[in-house]
Amino acid sequence: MSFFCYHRAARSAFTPCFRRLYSTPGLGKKTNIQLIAELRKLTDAPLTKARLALQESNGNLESARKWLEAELLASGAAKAAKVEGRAANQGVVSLTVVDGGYGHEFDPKHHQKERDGRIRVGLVEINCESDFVARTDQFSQLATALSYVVAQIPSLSHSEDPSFEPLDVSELLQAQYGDGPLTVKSAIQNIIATIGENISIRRAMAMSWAPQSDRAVRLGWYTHNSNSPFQGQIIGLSLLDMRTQSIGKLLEPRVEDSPLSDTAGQLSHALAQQVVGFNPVSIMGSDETSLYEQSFMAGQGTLVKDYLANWREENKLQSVDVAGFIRWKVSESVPE
Amino acid sequence: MNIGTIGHVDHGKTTLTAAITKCLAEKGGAQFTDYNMIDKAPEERARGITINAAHVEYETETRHYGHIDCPGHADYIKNMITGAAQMDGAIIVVSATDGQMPQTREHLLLARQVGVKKLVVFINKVDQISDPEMLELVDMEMRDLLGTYNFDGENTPIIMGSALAALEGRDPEIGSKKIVELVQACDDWLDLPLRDLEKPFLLPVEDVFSISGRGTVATGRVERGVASKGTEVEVLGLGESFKTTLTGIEMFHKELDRAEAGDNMGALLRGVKREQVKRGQVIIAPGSMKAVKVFKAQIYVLTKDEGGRYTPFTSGYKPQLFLRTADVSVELKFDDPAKMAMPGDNVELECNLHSSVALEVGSRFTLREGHKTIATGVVVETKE
Repeated sequence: MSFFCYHRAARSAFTPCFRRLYSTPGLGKKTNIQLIAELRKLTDAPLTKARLALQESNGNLESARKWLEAELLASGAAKAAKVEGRAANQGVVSLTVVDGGYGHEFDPKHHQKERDGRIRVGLVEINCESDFVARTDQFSQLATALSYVVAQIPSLSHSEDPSFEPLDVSELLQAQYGDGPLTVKSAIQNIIATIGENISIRRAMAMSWAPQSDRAVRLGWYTHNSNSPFQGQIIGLSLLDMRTQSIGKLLEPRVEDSPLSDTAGQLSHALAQQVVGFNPVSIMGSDETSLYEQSFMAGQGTLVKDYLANWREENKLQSVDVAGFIRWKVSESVPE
Repeated sequence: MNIGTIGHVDHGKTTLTAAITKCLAEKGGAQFTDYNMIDKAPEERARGITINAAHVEYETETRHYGHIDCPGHADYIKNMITGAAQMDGAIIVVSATDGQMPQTREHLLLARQVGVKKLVVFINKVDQISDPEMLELVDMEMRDLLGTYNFDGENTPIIMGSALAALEGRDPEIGSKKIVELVQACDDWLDLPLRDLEKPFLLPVEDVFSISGRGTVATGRVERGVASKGTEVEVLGLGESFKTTLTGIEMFHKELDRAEAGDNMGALLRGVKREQVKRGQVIIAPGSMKAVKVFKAQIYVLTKDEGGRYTPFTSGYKPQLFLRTADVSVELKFDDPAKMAMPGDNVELECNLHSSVALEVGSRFTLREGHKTIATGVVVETKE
């Protein structure tokens, strides 16, 4: 369900829909001002651009809109070049989960989705200059659309172990933006033209993985300081790696809810929250900088490794591990 | 009173702030503060909390203004929570070339959130627009938007000028004259906050003594208002509420007839036993406050560097709440029980006090755990 919702949201970012269409011959000056106002409501274009657009198209709103589209592309590029050097340390991390692996989503709203155990995820960090802009719908829609683009990029490796793959930002900028004619780069420049701040992609990461007969992986995610479950100031991802014979059968949600599926969803979510809250640097190790040695928020202080061992026993699995985790915080420095 | 400038990065709010100080400096009401000094203002620390804000001060014939300029939403919120500089009004800056932008909505939402009821709009860079009808459009759009966010779109003063012209001392018609007009609009339109003396009497009880032959005396520093000997007062909080008469006022071992905001006083209460009055209660003008157990608050969670926690906390966490002289345990509840609060966060949450405390919207408090201050907050809504 969520997949389609977010797909739609992403699309609406590229094709603005119109409430009214105008063709206005022989306009007086007063009408002109009203048309500019109307055009601004449709496009968010800067005032002077909106006026120029109407002048260039003899006051026809529809052709003014088209003119503006082309103009914003051109002026967006120029504006982008102008603001390029400015510090952009605000923004959001945005997540698209096309598939989250076996098990129910933690969020009960997603119960209906068919699962085959695959994982397909896109994660991206978009920056701007002020947190005011980071809060606008326009910026948020851009971020949603971009993580969706990232999730759609065909994965390069088919490794046996699930792993997060960093994407080259310059390649991502050349990717197609949604179904439209724009590249990611020009879509960003369009937003720069209306918002007037330096907007850039700091980093992107994708993951895709297919299940094996005796191995299932569940993706957990936690979003901090967010307005939606998929966008926030910090996002944590965890991979709960479960092995036992014919595990797919145990996890498939059929007529009745599978208890393992529910609890795997909750555990992977709790692990992602742990990662966000306690910022581990490794999975295993000797002190609290490693996830396994931390006391588990969701486990009343039991060490994460002990909690996992108990959980494995309770669910009669051969093995349970955290195969990987990610923690992205807006504007943190990214190691090369 | 305190005001702040809010606007898009390129619309010239720092230039405007500098221009205001320049124009008022010429009248002897300010010290000129140049663009660079405002823009590169160091981080401030209010009660140990770091806030990015530039402060300037200036005076008109009738008022003294503290003016703050913060780079972001989060900084203004922190300002509000800590009370470092409570904004009583704001100047929204919009460039005539762009008109209002998508983020202008966020600027207005912020003003609402920090409790600003009235604001003044400055349309900047008008020298770059030749067509007066375009300026009308900016004006019209702005009034429309103000109305959408529950400001008075019709009557809010909108001043059009060029902050840069004023700063550079050219074109006085759109420069310095407009800055003077803007400041005048602030004087005329923005409401002064009530002064402490004008508010109802409030004395937080710090200590209680029993003086033989006289009765029970509660001591503390008057937070606001005025009290006269012989008037009726109410003792409120920690599960108690009763009325009595203020039979005596004592300051530095002298009997006085009157005490006002800022005074350290002893209040002699008629017919009250020592056990009836406790530290943490308040003595107030009857009926002027309510004792509350459940309320909504906006809090800022201190970072480790600010002396706070280094781990998150979840719904159900129970620190101690300190409000005036009251020290009560409190349970914190999030809207979404699956969420957590981390050091550095601004969060809205519900507070459930172990026993009732006299408080109201705007009351500030701190949360402590052991000897550590872990958060500071402000009441945004009282519930029961």
